This record gives sequence, C-alpha cells and structure tokens, in this order.
Amino acid sequence: MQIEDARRLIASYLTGRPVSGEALAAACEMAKTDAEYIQYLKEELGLRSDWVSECDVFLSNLAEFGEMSSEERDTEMPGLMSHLAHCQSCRRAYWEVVPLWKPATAPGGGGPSVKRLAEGLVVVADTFGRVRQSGWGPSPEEVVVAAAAAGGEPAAAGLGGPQVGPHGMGPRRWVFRDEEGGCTIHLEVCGRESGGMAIGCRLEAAEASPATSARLRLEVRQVDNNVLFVAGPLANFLAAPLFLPWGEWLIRLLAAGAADTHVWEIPLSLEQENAHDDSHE
Amino acid sequence: MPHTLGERAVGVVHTLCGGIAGHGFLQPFVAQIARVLCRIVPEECLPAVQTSEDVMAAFASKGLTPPVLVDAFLDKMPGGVSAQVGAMIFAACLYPQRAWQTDRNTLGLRAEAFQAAWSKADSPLDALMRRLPPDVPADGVAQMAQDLSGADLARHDADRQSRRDGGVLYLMTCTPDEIRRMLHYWSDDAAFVRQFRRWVLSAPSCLAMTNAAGDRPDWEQVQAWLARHTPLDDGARRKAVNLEVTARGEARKWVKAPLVPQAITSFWDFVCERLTCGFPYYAFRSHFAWWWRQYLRNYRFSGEAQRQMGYEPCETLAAEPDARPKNDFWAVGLSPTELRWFREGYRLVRTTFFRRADRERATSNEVTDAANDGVRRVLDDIWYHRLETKMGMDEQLLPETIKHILEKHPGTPEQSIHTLCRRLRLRIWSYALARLGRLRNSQILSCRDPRRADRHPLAEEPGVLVVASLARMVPPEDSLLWAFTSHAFLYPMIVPQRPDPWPWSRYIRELWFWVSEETFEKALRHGAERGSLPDRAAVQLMQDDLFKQLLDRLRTLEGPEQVEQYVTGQALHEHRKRAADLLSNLVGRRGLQTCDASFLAAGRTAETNHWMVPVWYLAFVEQLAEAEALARLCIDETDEHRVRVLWAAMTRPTVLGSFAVTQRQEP
Repeated sequence: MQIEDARRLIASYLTGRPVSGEALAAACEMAKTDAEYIQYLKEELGLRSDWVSECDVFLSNLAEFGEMSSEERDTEMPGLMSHLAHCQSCRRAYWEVVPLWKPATAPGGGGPSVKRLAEGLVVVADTFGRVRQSGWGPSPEEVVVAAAAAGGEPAAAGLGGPQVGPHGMGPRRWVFRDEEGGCTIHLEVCGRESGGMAIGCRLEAAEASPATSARLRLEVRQVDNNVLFVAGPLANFLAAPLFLPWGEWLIRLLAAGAADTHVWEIPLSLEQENAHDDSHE
Repeated sequence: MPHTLGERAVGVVHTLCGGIAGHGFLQPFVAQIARVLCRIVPEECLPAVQTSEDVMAAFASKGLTPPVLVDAFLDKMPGGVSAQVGAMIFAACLYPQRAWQTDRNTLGLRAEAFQAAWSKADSPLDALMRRLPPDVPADGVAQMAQDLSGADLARHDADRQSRRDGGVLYLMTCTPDEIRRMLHYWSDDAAFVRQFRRWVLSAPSCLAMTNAAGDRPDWEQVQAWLARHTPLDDGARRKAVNLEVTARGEARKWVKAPLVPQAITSFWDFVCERLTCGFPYYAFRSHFAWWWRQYLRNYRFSGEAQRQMGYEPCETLAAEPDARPKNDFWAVGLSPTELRWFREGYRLVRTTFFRRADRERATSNEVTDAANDGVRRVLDDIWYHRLETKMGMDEQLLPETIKHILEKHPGTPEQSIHTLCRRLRLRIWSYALARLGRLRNSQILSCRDPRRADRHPLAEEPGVLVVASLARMVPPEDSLLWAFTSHAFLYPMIVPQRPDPWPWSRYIRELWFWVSEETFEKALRHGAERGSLPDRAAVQLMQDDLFKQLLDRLRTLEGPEQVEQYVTGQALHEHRKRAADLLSNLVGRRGLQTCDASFLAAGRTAETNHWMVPVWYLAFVEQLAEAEALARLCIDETDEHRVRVLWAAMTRPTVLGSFAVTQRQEP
C-alpha cells in the first residue's frame, strides 16, 4: 500500500464509506510513515493538544487576578478582564473566590463598620424596559419561570417590590450574603417602559446577627455628588418599589443597634441601552 | 521530585543545547530543562527520549511550547539560539505555569523580561538582581527564590541547589512589577507556607485522628493536638484549621457527607504534592488563602464519583497544570478506534447542516429530506477532500477540488462550499473537544484558535453547542448510534424552523453507514457489558431473525446507491413496528409522551434547546439518575439550574401535566 492509498482509505472511512477493518489497520500503519499527514489529520479532527479555553486561562489566574488592583489588571491582564465581562461561568467562579464585600471608609473616618460590595452592579435596560446585567459584578440569581410553573423550585422569594416588569420580563434578583455579619441582602431591579428602574430591597438576618434587633434603614445617594436622594426605614420600601432614574447610585442599608451601627453599600449603575451597543450578556 | 533524571537524559539535553552549552551560564538552564523533562514524562517513558527532537516534542506535546510562545522568541535570542530552543528554555523556567495560562499581554511582557535578562547576564541570579528596581530588596528576592521551590525541603545539596536555581529562573520570567507584588505576598505568607509544607502534609483533622471518619471534627481538639505535636505557632494553627474548614465546605457541595473525609484526604495529597515537589505551584502571586480557594474551586471533588460511573471526569486544566493531553508525543499516528470516534462524529455533525430556508421551500417531507441530503452530500465531498489532501490550517480547498465538487453538484454556489468547509471543521473540533476532551460548553466556546490566540472561532459558530452537548451523551468506547437516532428524530420537533423529517426508509439508509463499520457490534457489546440499556436492547434485537436478516443484508451492500435500491424495493413495516415496540418498552409511557412535538415545543428556549435531546436520552433511554446524567454531560454551573428544570419537566408526572397546560395556553 502506498501512502496515497492510505490517505484515500482513511478519508473514505471517515466520510462513512465502507472500509474493511483489515484495510483500515493497514492504512493506519502506513500513515504513520508520513508524520506531516498525521499532524495535519489531527489538526483537522481537532486533536491538537494546544487548544486553549479562555475559561481555563481565567480559572488558572483566578487568585492572582482577584487580588490585583484595577490598574494592574488593565496593564497585565486586559484579555481576562474582557473575558470575565462576557463569561457568566467564570464570573460565578470569580465571586466564589473573591470576597463579596470589602471594608469601606465611613464618611469622616471612624464611626460605623461599613462594607461595600466589591464590584458595583451595572444594569442596562432597553427601550422596552427589559433589563440585563453588564460589567462583571456578581451575577443575578437564575430565575427560570418554568420552574415555578412546573412545580419545581419556587422562584426567588418575592419582595414587596417589583414582581413582573413590562412585556412579562421578570426582575433581576441578586442575593448578597454577608457570612461575617450573619445576614443576607436581597435586591431586585426591574425595568420600566417609562424610563428608569424599579428597585426592591430586603435584609434577612440570622438570629445571632446584630442586624436582628437593629433599626433598619435604607438610603439612596447619588454617586457623583453624594447627595441623598431618598431615605427612610427599610420597612417603608418593602410594600412598594422604589423608582430610580438613570444614573449612578449608592444604595446603603444601615442597621443601627444599641452598641454599634453596620452599613452595607451597593453601588448600582442604571443605564439605558445604547442603540449601537451590540454586546450582550 | 517523583523520579530522578538518568545521566543519559541529561546528556540528551546537553546535546540539544549543543552549540551553546559550553558557556557556563547555561548550565542552570540545562538542568532546569532536565528537571522539567523528568516531571512531565513518566519514568517508564524516559528511555524513549533519545534525541533532542524527542525533548522538544515532549515539551510541545505537553502544551509547554505553543506556537504563540515560539513566535514570541523569533529573532529575540542572542548567540544563534533558535526560537524553538529559546521558547523551550523559557517554558522550562516558567514551569509549572504554562504559556497558555498567561494572559496574552502578560506573556509578551514576561518573554521580554526573560530575553532582557538572558542577553545581559552571565548568571541567572546576577541577571535577576541587576534587573530589580531599587525599591525591591535583593535579599528578600533571594530568600523568596528559595521559598518558591521549597529548597529547604531538599535532602541533598545538589537537589537544594537545583531547586534554588529553579526558583531564580522562575523569577527571571517575571516582570519587575510582578516581583514587587510577589514580595508583598511572600512577606505576608512565607513563614506560614514553610511551616505548612513541613508539618501539615495531611489535613489537620487527619493528623489529630479526631473524628477523622466523620463530617464534623472537633476543631478544638485538633488545635490542641497541633499545639502538642507540632511547632506551629498560634496563628499558623488557626490558619491550617481554617484551610481545612474551607476545603470541607467545598467538598460538601460535591460529595455526600460520609465521603467528605476521603475527598479531603485526596485534595490534601494533591495540593501537598505540588507544594513540596520543587516547582513553584504556589508562586506567591496571591495570598496563600486565595490560592487555596482557587485550587478548591477548580478541583473536581466529584471526579472520583464520575470515574466509578465508568468514564473519565471532565479535567480542569486550570486545577491541574500537569493534566496531560490525550495524545502523548510518542503516540505516533491514529488508531482505527480513534478514527471510529470521528466517523461517528461526522455522521452526527452532518445532521446539523440544512438546506437554506430561503431556497426551494419544502412542500413535503420528501422534498425537505432530499434537499437536506443534497447539502449533506456536498458536505461528504468536502470532508473527503479535506482529509485526503494535506492543506494548511487556514487554507481553503484547492481550486481543482472546488471545481470537481461544483461539477458533481451543479447549482451549488461556490461561496457555499467555502462556508460549509469552514463550519464543518469548527463543528468537528467542538465534537472532539466535547467527546474526547470532555470540555464544558463554556470552555469550548472560549477556546482560542491554536494558531491565532486572539480569535475564539467556536464562539461564533452556530451549531457548536448542539454538537458538543450530544457528543458527551455516551462514552467514546460505546456506539453513538442511539444518541444520533434520538437527535435525528427529536431535534426537528424542537427546532421546527429546520424541517428534517426522518421517515423509516431514510433511517435505514443511514443505518447502513453505521452497521457496515466492522467494529460497530463490538462497540455495542462493550456498551451492553457496561450496563447501557439501549446497547443491551440492541444486542438482543440483533438476535431477532427479522433484524438479523436486515443487518446481514445491509452489510453486503457496497455503496449508498445499492442501499437506496434495496430500501426502495423492501417492505420494512414489520421492522418499523418491532423497533417501535422496543422503544416503547424501553422508554415507557412517560418517555413516549415527552417525544410529543407539542410537549417539546412547550419547553424550548434558546438556552435549553441543545440540552433537550441529551436530557431525554439519559432520562428515558439510558435511565440514569439525575446526578449521574448531569455529570456525564459536563454541564456548566450556569446551565445546571436550567437543565435540572428540564429534567424535572420531563420526568416528574405532575410537572408533565403542568408543562402540557403551559403548552395549551400558548397562542
């Protein structure tokens, strides 16, 4: 058998034509003498050993990337930053390794213990009020309407706030746990056809948490000038959603106890879809 | 090191560096190549490394010297050192990190840093020190180099020296900014890492033998034991215990409580081997606790369970930089078995190509099926010619080949041939990555082009997820026919905009391609022995006289034309009825109900369409438990919830009812 015959037999076999086992084995033996062809065949079949998944690259740099400053990431790992923005799977891995909260300085120094979400949320709404997350903040919870309809797991616990947005689009729901503080913050964001977004917020505290017996209060500030937009006891915002226009906001949850005050801050950017922006989550 | 390097292997490495090895400065590099060679090539295979080409092939086959790295060394090394040799020396110094694991930007910066040091220095340590910015303390860097490779753990002077050199060489691959950052983490964590490597080589609860078999160790007792029996200080004891607590938390997500201690032991062995082997697996590129969490996150705790189910778990290269590619460098050629995987893969991939919707709108099943088969016959010719003729990776078909195909299939636009050719390769690649590499869908989509690291070709190709999800349905050793059959019959109902009816006669024509392959029966028997229900049923069916005669006859036919002739003249109603009875017995009433077009239509969404056939097949045909099915399909965590919902919708009777209600309410 010549190498050309071997190639023809292998190609015939792979295309589905009948080739006897004996002839195929002989063709495989003969093909070994043409290393270049074998290399070519392996490439055609996807058997190269140097396929690299960007997810694997990201996951093998997870710890280092997590501890880098944003300037360092910009200089050294711009490719991974862009991957993280687009890959939900890696974003989830990232937030499993990186602490959700980082300490923030209270205004004027000293004072209450302030924790800020390590990466702010960017929520984008299109002209119909349908929302999606942008950037690489923590991912919203997976809400599959069929689950509730099908009697599977219930949809995320409903807040008093927005339940269903325009065009039947459900809200985006985030659950932020603070293991140290023994509490969980639920945040819902829902688009509105009239512009801006509706926000729902709730805090769940474990029995041992200082937040259990504390007075809970919600504040929303504009990021650029730190002006207070709205404030009041958290309970006031449970029954009806809070409407926020486009812009950058800082949502602050304050738990004022007898001894001390704890504050959780969530930077939230509400954006309108740019007609020319074709990036999708 | 797990095995020491024989003198002959050192000789080979020296020969490799022949022209430049006379320079004393190169000795640490040569020694480093030899160390890495011993690490990546199993001891029993070392004798096969005979020539300098073998050494380079070993590095290349383990993914250490990808083309992108060789490109970074083109014309950059002084003294006549070739780009391949330069890349290999760099790869050896970088090990266990790999060029592919770095961001493209970082790789360029690090290669430049290395080249700068190489050209200016006469010893690696001097070169490194000269390059340090003034604010970086030289003594700290020298000490860090020792800690990087665990030089203090070496028993012999020679080993200690080579480990120390290895640490220095690793730092030579780092930029000054990186070294500054590493020093920061080193100053925080080095003392603990030294203690950990010496005294905590087993999980603390195991060391203390405290409730080791249970899931809830008494941590106070563990701390007390550590205080009595180890020189660990208070902080180090707390840290060690915290590491185990974190590990147990992660393990509990993947394995049942009684198996947690065993899983922790495996994980601890895995990590400690890397911490003590003399290569900088933990390279102070983050705090130790972060690195630990990264390893935990990427470690497959469920791997053992998967192995018990009879197939290899999805390997995460990120967790295990030593994960070896399937094709070792000494495995020259392709075996008939490997070729069978791709013959089956092509049959599957073929069904993901359709006649364009805007051409000759189908008026009946027959017209549609003929139109699709027409496109697929063009595809057959493209595939045959691609495989038969050697072409470069990015090259299109040769002009004479295109001309030949156009003559054979008049009316086919030339542009379609180019498009089909490109898409076919991408889909075959995704099949290989899914079936043999067991990569998850997100990993497949984010694969870089092996030749052009800035491109992710699979992310842009529709149909990749359908192929990838189907390819994992059965282990490679088994036949893919039943997975193919499920897809052929069900998928057109899930995506009705792509009509592709499979009347019985067409299926028999397709069956010929499968049964005329000589190892088909062997693969079925293998599956049946492994416990695969459809393979068992098929083996039984083949004993049935009616089917035995049909299959024997099909095997005597020599080409599609003869098959066509045979099928046209045959009454195959009885075969069809028996096959339907068999299917009905196998999948049961619920399995059949879910084959209903209206049911499938009710559950389809863009995110789950490609999972519907695999879920149906594993739930009703293979009848696996949910967890086992999910493990086999290597589902991304982000898809898990959707797939579980789909599983529940298909398998739970009450859910089936609600799904039907949902369907009826749809306009």
